[in-house]
Amino acid sequence: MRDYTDSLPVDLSALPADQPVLLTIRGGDGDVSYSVFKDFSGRYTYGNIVNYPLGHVAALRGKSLLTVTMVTDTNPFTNRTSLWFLVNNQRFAPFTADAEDDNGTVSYSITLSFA
Amino acid sequence: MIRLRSLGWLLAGLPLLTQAQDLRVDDLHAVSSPATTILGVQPAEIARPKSYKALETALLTNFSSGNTWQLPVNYALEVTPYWFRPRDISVQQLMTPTTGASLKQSFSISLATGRRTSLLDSTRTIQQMGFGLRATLFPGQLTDAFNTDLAALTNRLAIIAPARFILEAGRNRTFADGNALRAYLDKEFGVVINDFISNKAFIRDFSQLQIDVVESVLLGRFATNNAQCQLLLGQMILKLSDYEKTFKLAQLAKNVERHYYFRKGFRMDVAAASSVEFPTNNFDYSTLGKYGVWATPGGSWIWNNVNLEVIGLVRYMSNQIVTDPTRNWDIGSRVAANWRRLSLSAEYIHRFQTTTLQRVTLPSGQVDRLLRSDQDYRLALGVEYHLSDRFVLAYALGRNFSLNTEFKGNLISILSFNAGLSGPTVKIAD
Repeated sequence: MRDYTDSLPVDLSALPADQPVLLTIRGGDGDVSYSVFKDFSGRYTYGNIVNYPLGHVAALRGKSLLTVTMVTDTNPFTNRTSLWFLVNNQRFAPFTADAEDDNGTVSYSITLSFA
Repeated sequence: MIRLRSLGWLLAGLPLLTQAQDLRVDDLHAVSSPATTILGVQPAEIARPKSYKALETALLTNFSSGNTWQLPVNYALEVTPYWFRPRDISVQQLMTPTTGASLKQSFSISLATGRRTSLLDSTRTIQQMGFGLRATLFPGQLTDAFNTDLAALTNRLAIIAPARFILEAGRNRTFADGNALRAYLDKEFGVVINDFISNKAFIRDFSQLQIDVVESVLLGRFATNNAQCQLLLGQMILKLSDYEKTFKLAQLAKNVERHYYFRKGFRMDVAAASSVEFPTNNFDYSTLGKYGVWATPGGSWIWNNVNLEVIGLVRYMSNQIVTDPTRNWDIGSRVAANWRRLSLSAEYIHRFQTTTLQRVTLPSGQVDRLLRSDQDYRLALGVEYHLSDRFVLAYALGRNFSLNTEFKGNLISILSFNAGLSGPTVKIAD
């Protein structure tokens, strides 16, 4: 299993303070993924994360959120895995890492920093 | 004289001859490409670099010799450019593409090199290079087993991922001593267990993971400060990485991946290829060898645990290698029945051939050609037995095309044993 650790700055300055912030996390490249994080109320969230409401912009500014996603290579054409984040439908450049072998797994630990 | 040559289009379907549960995914990937098919070579392996960097390395390693370029012998390469960039595509989108998406995702470029004996001087060999393109127009339908295999993998990831999160989150905390660390771990694992309380299988496996990873590291060790606690957390993360093997994640992932190839219903690939030859083995002088375009529509059905498969072939091929250049229309089919480790197949291809016997330049300057039409056929029977998932015993017998080919004789008869280093290959002699 390969480990990948990084951070993702999320700029919320262009959004109104009372707007809800919705988070989507998905594995790309035709692979199977599973995500886990603990939201700001202390509740665990598992699996496919699609438009999960994290809270309002004002409440999130200055906070950070740890996410762990496991991506397993199931694509016969490439061993690269990728992890995509969308915040309010704004898609960020993907994090990518090659699996060590065919059908290997990459564990992504990404910390989102809201500003 | 017996020579080995490939059975290109047949081999493209060979992977489906076998029982999926007995195979590696590599076995499902055909040991042929349009470039090898047009050359009529059967390489031991086709390099399939999966990134730009890997492609660069493959080209530099095989085509570069110091400051000069060289043609490697019996080298084959196939790349799928679409996947050289990260794609925001889920496993479901990969496995159930639309026709347009399937074309993009499966489009490949292939290259192969080989040598053949000169028809005029049997002591001389001629270097050949083939180029090919192919894509899957209709990939067929997923079998019901896909959802089962996907759930099996996802269920395992669902056990490891929360544990990984708890350990990673612990690294962002400060623990006074081992008691504080244990309290944190017990609490967080307890919260996850509580969240899945209705799923007994999850609780059982997650609790076992906690024992194997957390308890085994904490056993007999008591940390007295945060640095020691963090060290223990690091050891737990290392142990958790081993759980990939405990849960056989790679095998479960292979089971999902194989569905890309092992499908039911109608499917169709299209391909085109051409070859050039270097008669003087000099790069500055090359001639067009062959070119062709073909489609392989087909389908498979499961009947009483027997996997029945029918693949058709429609192919146009121009051959400039032979003494009298030919244009061939090939139409045929291959039927295969696969039961457990045994596969039986029969193949028939009918050829409509037009041969250019003479080219005469008339006084007017026009070129007149004397043409002849012929019909030919190829018939082959094959049996294949998988002794294990890596060892394949195969035999093929039949009659190959005999009119105006670059090969001598038309007997197909060969017994082959494949050690599974690069997937099953049935080699046909003529």
